[in-house]
Amino acid sequence: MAFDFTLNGRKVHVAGVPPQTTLLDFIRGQGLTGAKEGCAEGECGACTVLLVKANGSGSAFVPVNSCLMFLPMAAGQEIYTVEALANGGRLAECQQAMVDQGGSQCGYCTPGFVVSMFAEQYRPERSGPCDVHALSGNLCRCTGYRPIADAAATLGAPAADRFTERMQRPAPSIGAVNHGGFLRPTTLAECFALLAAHPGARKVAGGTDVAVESNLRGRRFDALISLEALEELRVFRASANEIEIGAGLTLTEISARWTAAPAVWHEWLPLFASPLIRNRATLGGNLATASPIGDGPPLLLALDARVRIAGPQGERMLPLDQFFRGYRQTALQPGELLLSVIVPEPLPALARFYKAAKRRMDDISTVAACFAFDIDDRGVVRRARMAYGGVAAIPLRAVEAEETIVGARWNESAVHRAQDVMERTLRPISDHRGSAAYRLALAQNLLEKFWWEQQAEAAA
Amino acid sequence: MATTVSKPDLLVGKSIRRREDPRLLTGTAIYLDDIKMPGMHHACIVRSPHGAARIKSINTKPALDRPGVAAVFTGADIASLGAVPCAASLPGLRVPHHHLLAQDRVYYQGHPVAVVVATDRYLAADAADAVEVEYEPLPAVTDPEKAIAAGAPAVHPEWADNIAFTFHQEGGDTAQAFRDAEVIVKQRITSQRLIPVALETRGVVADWRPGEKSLTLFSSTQIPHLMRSLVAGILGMPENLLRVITPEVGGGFGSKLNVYAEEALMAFIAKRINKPVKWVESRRENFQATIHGRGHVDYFELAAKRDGTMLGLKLKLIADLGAYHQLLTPAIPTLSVLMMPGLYRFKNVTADIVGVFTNCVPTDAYRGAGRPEATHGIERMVDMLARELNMDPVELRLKNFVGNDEFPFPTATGLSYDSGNYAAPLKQALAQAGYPELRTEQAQARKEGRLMGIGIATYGEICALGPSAALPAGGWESATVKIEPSGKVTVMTGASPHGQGEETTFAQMAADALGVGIDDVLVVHGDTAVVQYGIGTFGSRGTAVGGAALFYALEELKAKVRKFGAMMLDTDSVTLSGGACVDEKTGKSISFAEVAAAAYHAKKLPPNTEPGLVSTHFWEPPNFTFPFGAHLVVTEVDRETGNIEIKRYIAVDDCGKIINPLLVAGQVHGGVAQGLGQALWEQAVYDDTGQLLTGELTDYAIPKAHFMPWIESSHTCTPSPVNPMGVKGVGEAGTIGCSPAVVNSVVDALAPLGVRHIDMPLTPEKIWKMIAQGGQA
Repeated sequence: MAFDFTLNGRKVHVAGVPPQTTLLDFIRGQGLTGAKEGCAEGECGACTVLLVKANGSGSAFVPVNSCLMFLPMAAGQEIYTVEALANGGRLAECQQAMVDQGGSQCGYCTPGFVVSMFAEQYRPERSGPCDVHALSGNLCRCTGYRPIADAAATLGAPAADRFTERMQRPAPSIGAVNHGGFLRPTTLAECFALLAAHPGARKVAGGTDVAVESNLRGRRFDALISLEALEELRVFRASANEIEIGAGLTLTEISARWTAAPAVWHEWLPLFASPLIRNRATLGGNLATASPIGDGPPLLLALDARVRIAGPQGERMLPLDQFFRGYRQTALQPGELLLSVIVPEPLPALARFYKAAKRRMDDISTVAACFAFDIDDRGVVRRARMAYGGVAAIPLRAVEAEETIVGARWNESAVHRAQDVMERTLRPISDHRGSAAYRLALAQNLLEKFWWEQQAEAAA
Repeated sequence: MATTVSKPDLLVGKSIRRREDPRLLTGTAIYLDDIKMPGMHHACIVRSPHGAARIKSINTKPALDRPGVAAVFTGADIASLGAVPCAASLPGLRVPHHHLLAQDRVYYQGHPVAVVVATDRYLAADAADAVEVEYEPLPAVTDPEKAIAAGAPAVHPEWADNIAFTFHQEGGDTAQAFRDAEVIVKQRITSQRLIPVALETRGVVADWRPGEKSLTLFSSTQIPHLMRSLVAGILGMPENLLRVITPEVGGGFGSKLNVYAEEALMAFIAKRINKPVKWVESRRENFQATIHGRGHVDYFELAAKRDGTMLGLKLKLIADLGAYHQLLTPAIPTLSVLMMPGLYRFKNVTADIVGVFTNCVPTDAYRGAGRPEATHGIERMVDMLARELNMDPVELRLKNFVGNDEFPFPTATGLSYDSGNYAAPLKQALAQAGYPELRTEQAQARKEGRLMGIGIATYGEICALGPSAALPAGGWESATVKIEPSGKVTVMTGASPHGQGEETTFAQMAADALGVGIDDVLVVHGDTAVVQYGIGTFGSRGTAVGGAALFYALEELKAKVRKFGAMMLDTDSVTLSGGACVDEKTGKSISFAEVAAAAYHAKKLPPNTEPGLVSTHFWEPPNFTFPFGAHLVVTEVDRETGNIEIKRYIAVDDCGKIINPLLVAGQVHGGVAQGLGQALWEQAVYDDTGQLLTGELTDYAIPKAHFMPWIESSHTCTPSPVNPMGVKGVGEAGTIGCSPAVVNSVVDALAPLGVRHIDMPLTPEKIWKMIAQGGQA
């Protein structure tokens, strides 16, 4: 019923704290009030803190939303807050850059930006000046972002200091937790036993969805079963025939491991969510919540992905298009887990992801679409996948539209035939994010956009 | 003592780094939610889920039975307390009694119904969910035009027409102007409801001290002193026993220029439970229960000659006030009327406002407060007139601007524009943009079927609010300067900055005036027990009014320092420089600290001089100031998705003299970001039953870092004669100039399709529909 974690280099012992307390509230209660609540839903980033995570044989500082972490998720972790960054009276380099560029006004969002900027400066793979996209998980209402972006742009490689020294050493590994209904098993067998013992339990991985339910809708769970310490969910295997991606890997971890990821993956990633969310959100979680407007399903449907499901009785495999059963419903039976996602090779030669939303990037989609094609030398379509989110209660492929163009030449008339089929077969809903007519038109127009972009690329 | 000192460079006009920053950047600044007190309880508010409903019953017992719950309060407990105040007064204004908690009915989603107080924030939230309120939902109306149509549900049963007030203003002879017109342009233009979204939500900590019978209220507010007066009034307690402290305030934008029910409620509750109590608003509450901005439906008519001479302007303004009046709710649309002539030489204007109750949270001041609506309207109308006359919109503007030799310029709405050179920023923007080349590029783009637009907006705004005659609680500001016995300087300003950086700019002013180093100056604000009465920071007044008060306080104190210096140096001509009093004739000097010590030790005093070095000045501005500028925006619209790309954004602003360019740049960039938010993405959407559909940040899209265009910002400088520093104010300029420039640009892009006007926000869907329907809305 108790656990430890490391906060700014000091061991913290936690006992008797309700399990749905956020990490943010806890560290603020410790007097570290630099991290702040601005939304409690992972939108504003005012609560950003650093987790020390494995990076090869060393470590990296990974910025996350502390409002979306239940406190027991911190068990065994090593965490740094903004208060730890300045060294005595000397500001960290990113803090000084913010002063020099006028990057702070009311200051409420500032510690979050500082932590994100720090993590970006110290990110091992980084080269060149800090990219403003690294700050896309942090909202500011005062500055218009320009001075913050200017500050980030001044940052080169970090000088050798206690943080770069820390990065040379391994990250802590996280183990089992049993804290007031928050249960974190370390093996699949334990996990199935817990799922059987707590039939009402909610499974949680990164928590970017579940914590929002807790924070904003006041949902209290009888039991939370954390999948974070299950190594079986953290596989990444690339073979000649397929790539298997563990359901428990975060999107950031997948990116780091999938060195041969197709261009469409890198196109998709920034559209999916901010780095703060991607550092916690798992691919499995994105599929298992089965949101009709989630961004993961269209991509993976278009790549012909399968899912590996494990239960107490064994494993089974399911094509992803049979996984989504209804509005936020999946084929997972009680007691079952999503183990991994398998993407068959060879990948389609041509694939693009599109997202239409008010702000396009890391916003809730009105319509998300992924098109994946193989076209032979004669210009004939050999494989066509058109997968959508936001056009029905579940993510789906426009199969009839695909069928009209396979075996035919890929030209403007093929686009129009597919659009005509969509007109008949897609039945989107209307809400304040978009009317049914607009969603249908987006589904059609995005295909046309895909075609035109290819023509432009071919011409260039 | 006799050392020679060199005259230091003046700090005013330089990009001095913000002195606020280190504490903000290291996470050590103290905001409202960072305050902890022994025995402190936490409040959670039960709010109406309905837009309109009768409360049939409230059962608090299930909440009281939950762990940690100390008390639950409902409307019955506060019925005898005063109402949430409205300071604005207009002839015939209907003012519903705005109880701190709902009585028998709720009028908007988020209306406070009960307060649960518990030992912990989570326990309070869980117990609030356990309060059982039985509602009988009633028909609601959320659209102001529908609300004044026949047969609409009455928001307040006592006023069936939903009209809170009507207001008429006229200058010149508009009827004649329209008779003389050769062309009349008419358009309905909306400025949508917006949510301010300060990154820090509202919050209150109330601490009752029974021994002293005094109450300390910590509040994240822009107006600590007004808060003290008004909350004392609601509670019926002596004002001098109430102390309001504003900790670090995480943004306001007008949303904290108010007194809300929660401030008085927490004060009341702390006294009742005899424990400190904290309430911090959740983001969802912030969306539902903190004021919104804008909410205008404006019907404009512009009369002109064929040669482009603009003759007259008519406006029928339907203002969505929401369910109640907050502090300034009914006054905001009247600011729009004042500024409706823009920068133009109109002689004849007529405006009629209908203020309308709706089942929505009240609207009130949000960055710009009335001026963005006016500017958006007139700048759209001028573009439409230009199109009608087949004139370049630049030429039309230049033809009608108030001339440089016409200042002070009396407007048809009764204002006196202080100073201006309205063509200067426009010409600067055009030169920077390469305007003729841009038009050539646009012609080429159109040939290729691309939708490229060039939009221009010029704006004038009314700042330095304002002469006391124009503001309900006074429009002056105060400053005290103290030289402490050690020679350190403390400035206390009645303005209550919350991110604008006056701890830096005011220190620059004080350091220059007294000849001391900036690190010897401390700027204090936001504590009614420490700082003399003040009005606050809003309406771009912090520097233009608060700074002027400081200027005069410094002048008075300098005179006294000189007297002591003269006495000690035995001379009659003393200057303050380099941290010392210097005898101008001999160059002999005596340190500031020595002078200060002498003034306090008072062993010897100059003739007719009291001990001590303190001065306080209350400054009444003789007029508003009127900043202006020109924004030019180049856009391209994607035909397939309706997506808008901003290719260039040029902002040329004239805010008079600039004290700190770094801080002014921050205000411009931040203002433009909020203007872009309004132009492109933001809108508070209620459905017909009063549900706020854009109730979370995921649904209400504010701009993000990687979405901002590169803003090319520059300035012209026309000093204001209104205050001694020549400053005009810059806090709202970017917001005001932005939205019409963006919309003019997108309308220009879609002009080949016959598009004449589009209402904000310019969402991809709206634009796509227009393209799909061949330019029809």
